[in-house]
Amino acid sequence: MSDSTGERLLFPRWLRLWHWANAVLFLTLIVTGFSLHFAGVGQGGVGFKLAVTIHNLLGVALVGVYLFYLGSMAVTGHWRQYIPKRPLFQRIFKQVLYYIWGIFKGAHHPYEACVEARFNPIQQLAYIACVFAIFPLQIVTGIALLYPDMAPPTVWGMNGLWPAAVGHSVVAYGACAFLLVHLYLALTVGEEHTGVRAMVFGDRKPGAGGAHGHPAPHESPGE
Amino acid sequence: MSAQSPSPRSSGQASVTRPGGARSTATSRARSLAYLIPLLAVAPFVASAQAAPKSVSSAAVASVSASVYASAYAAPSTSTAPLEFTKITLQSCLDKCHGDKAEERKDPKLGRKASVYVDEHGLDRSEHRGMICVDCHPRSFAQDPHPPARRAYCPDCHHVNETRKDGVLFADIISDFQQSVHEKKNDKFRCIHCHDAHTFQLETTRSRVFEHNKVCLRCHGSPDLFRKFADKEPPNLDKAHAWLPNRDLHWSKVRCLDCHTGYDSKSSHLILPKAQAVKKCEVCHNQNPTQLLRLYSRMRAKERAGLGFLNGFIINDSYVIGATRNKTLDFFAILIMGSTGAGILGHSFLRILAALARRRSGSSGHDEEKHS
Ligand code: HEC
Ligand code: HEC
Ligand code: HEC
Ligand code: HEC
Ligand code: HEC
Ligand code: HEC
Repeated sequence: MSDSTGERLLFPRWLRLWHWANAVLFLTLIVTGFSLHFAGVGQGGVGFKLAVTIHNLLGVALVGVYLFYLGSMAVTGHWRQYIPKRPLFQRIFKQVLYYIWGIFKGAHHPYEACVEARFNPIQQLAYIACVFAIFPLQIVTGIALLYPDMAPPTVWGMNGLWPAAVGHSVVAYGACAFLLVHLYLALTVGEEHTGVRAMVFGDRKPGAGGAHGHPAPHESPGE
Repeated sequence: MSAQSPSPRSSGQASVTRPGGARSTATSRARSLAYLIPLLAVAPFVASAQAAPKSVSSAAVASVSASVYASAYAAPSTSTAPLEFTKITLQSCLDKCHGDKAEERKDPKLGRKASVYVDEHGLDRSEHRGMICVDCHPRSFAQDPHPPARRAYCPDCHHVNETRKDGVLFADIISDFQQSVHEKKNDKFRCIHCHDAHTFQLETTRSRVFEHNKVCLRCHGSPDLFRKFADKEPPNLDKAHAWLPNRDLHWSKVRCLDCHTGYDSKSSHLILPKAQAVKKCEVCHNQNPTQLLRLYSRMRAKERAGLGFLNGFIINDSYVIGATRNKTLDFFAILIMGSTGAGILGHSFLRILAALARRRSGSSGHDEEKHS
C-alpha cells in the first residue's frame, strides 16, 4: 500500500501528473486560442505571432500528454474506470437527483470516489465523451490547422479549412464551459476541497477517520 | 479614354511627378518614348541587326536621347510589300505566324529562338479585347521578323490624365511606379516587365493572387532575369521571409504587393524598401483585415456573400484566423458559457440558502455525519 506502487491511492502519481500537465496546457491553450480567434479585438493579448508559436507548441505537447494518458490507462487498467456500471440509468438518475435536490439538503454524495470507481456516473459519461470523442476531434482539427496544406482546397464552395476551424472553435468553447463546471464541482462539492487535495497529494484524507491536516501522501491511505 | 473626373489625389496634375519635382507634359511624353528603348532589345522580333538599332543596350538607355527613337519610328512604316497582306486583320497575323504555337523566331536578347505565339483567347479576355495587332505593333511587315512594338509603353496610349473605369488615374500608377524601389534604384524597369498587354485584365478572379505573385516571382524567382536588372544576386526569399510561418500557404493566399506596398497603402505600384514591408500579423489576422481587403476591392458587391462569417466573402478563398470567424457560432458560444456561469451562480446561491436554512433549523449535523 505504499505510494510507490501508486495503485492504492485514489489518484496514483501518473494520473495526477497527467491531470495537472493537462490542466496547465489546457488553460494556456484557451488563453492563446482566444487571442488568435479574436486577434485585433481590443489591443490586449500576447500578440498574434507569439500566440501562434505558443499555441502550436503546447498543442503538440497536449497530444503527447494525451498519448501518455492512453498508454498509462492501458497499462494500469485505469481504462476500466470508463466502463459504465449497471443499472446505468438508475445510477445516473441518482446522481442527477443529488445535484438538483440532495445537495441542498446536505445529503451524502451518492457515489463517493474510491479506487475502484474514481468517477461518479455523470462524471463517467462526461469523461468518456471528453477522452474518446472530443479530445481526438480537437487533435484532428488542430493538426489540420497546423498543416493547412493537408486540408481539402474547398468544402461546399468555401475554403477547405473552415470545417476544421469551426470544429476547433466549437470544441474549444465546449471545453471552456466544461472547465467552469469542473472547477465549480471540484472546488465546492467535495467535502472541504478533498477532491482537489486528492488530485494534488493522491489521496482524499490521510488515513480513515477524517482528522484534518496531514496531507502527506506517503501515509497509508487505509482503504 | 480621356480624362473624366480626376481623382482628388492628382487633380490638376497633367504630368507625372517624380521625387525631383513636377515636369512638363512634353518631357513626360519624351520620357514615355524613352521607355520604348529597352523594348527593342527585349522583343524577340529583333533579329536583323539593320532593323534594330545596334546601340541599344540596357546600359545605353540613359544616354540615348529619346527623340532619336521617336523619330525613327515616327510614322507608320510605308513598306510596300507587307508580307503579302492585303488587309491586316487580327486573323491575318494569327494565320501567318502568331496563331501557331510552334512558330519561333530568334530572340537576340536570349540568343536563341523563342516562341512568337500569341494566345488569341487571352487577348479576347483582356482589357484590350477588340484591338488588333497593328493597333499596337507597327505596320512594317517588310522584314521577317519585323521591328517590335512602337507604341507599347502603356502610357503611350493610356495618357497620364486618363481615368480608368474604376476611378484610378494612370498618372497615379505612373508616379507610384516611379517612386517604387525598383525604379528608384535603377532606371531599367518598364510597365511591360510586369504586364503583358496581350493578357492584361482587371477582372477579379480567385487566381488573382497567383497571377499577381507570378509577376514578382518572374524576376525574384529567376536569378538570370534578376541579374539583367541589378548587378547582384537576387536576395534569398526563404531567408527574408523566415519570420512568416506557413510561408507557402501565405504566398498562395496573399499577394507580395499586399505586404510590400506597406501599411494602409492603396497603391499596387509603390513597392517600398524592404524595411517598410508589412510584418505585423494583425493587419490581416484581424476582424478588419485591411491588408487583405485590397485584394477584394474590385470584387462585385453581390459576390460578397455573408454566410454568417465575418468578412464572409474571403472565406471562399481563405479561412483567415482572426478575420473570418463565424459570428453566429461566437454568439451561441457566449450564450452557452453565459448560461453555464449563470447556472453555477444560481446553484451556489441556492446551496447557500439551503445551508443557511439547515443551520437555522439546527440540522447542521451533516458535516460531522459525513466524516465519521
Ligand atoms: C494593346 C496592345 C497590343 C496588342 C493589341 C497586341 N500586342 Fe503584341 N505586344 C504588345 C506589347 C506592349 C509587347 C511588348 C511585350 C514585351 O516586350 O515583353 C508585345 C509583344 C509582342 C510579341 C513579343 C513576344 C511577347 O509576347 O512578348 C509578339 C510576338 C506580339 N506582341 C504579337 C502580337 C500579335 C500577333 C498580336 C495580335 C494578335 C498582338 N501582339 C497584339 C502590345 C500589344
Ligand atoms: C496601342 C494602345 C494601347 C497600349 C500600348 C496599351 N493599351 Fe490598355 N487600352 C487601350 C485601349 C484602346 C483600351 C480600351 C479602353 C476602354 O475600354 O475604355 C485599353 C484598356 C485598358 C485597361 C482598362 C481601362 C479601364 O478603363 O479600366 C487597362 C487597365 C489597360 N488598358 C492597361 C494597359 C497596360 C497595363 C498596358 C501596358 C502593358 C496597356 N494597357 C497598353 C490601348 C492601349
Ligand atoms: C513591379 C511590377 C510592375 C510594374 C513595373 C508595373 N506594374 Fe502595374 N501592376 C502590377 C501588379 C502585380 C498589378 C496587380 C495589382 C492589382 O491589379 O491590383 C498591377 C496592376 C496594374 C493595373 C490595374 C490595377 C491598379 O492597381 O490600378 C494597371 C492599370 C497597371 N498595373 C498599369 C501599370 C503601368 C501603366 C505601369 C508602368 C508605368 C505598370 N503597371 C508597372 C505590377 C507592376
Ligand atoms: C506577409 C507579408 C509579406 C509577403 C506576403 C511577402 N513579403 Fe517579401 N518581405 C516581407 C518583409 C516584412 C520583408 C523584410 C524582411 C526583413 O527585412 O527582415 C520582406 C522582404 C522581401 C525582399 C527583400 C529581401 C532582401 O533580403 O533584400 C524581397 C525581394 C521580397 N520580400 C519579395 C517578396 C515576394 C516576391 C513576395 C511574393 C511571392 C513576397 N515578398 C511576399 C513581407 C512579405
Ligand atoms: C523585372 C524584374 C523584377 C520584377 C518583375 C520585380 N522585381 Fe523586385 N527587384 C528586382 C530587382 C533587380 C531588385 C533589386 C534592385 C536593386 O537593389 O538594385 C528588386 C528588389 C526588390 C525588393 C527589395 C527592395 C529593398 O529594399 O532591397 C523588393 C521588396 C521587391 N523587389 C519586391 C518586388 C515585388 C513585390 C514585385 C512584384 C510586384 C517585384 N519585386 C517584381 C527585380 C524585379
Ligand atoms: C498579408 C496578410 C497576412 C499577414 C501579414 C499574415 N498572414 Fe497569416 N494568413 C493570411 C491568410 C490569408 C491566411 C489563410 C490561408 C488559408 O487560406 O488557409 C493565413 C494563414 C495563416 C496561418 C495558417 C492558419 C491555419 O489555417 O492553420 C498561420 C499559422 C498564420 N497565418 C500565421 C501568421 C503569423 C504568425 C503572421 C505574422 C508573423 C501572419 N500570419 C501574417 C494572411 C496574412
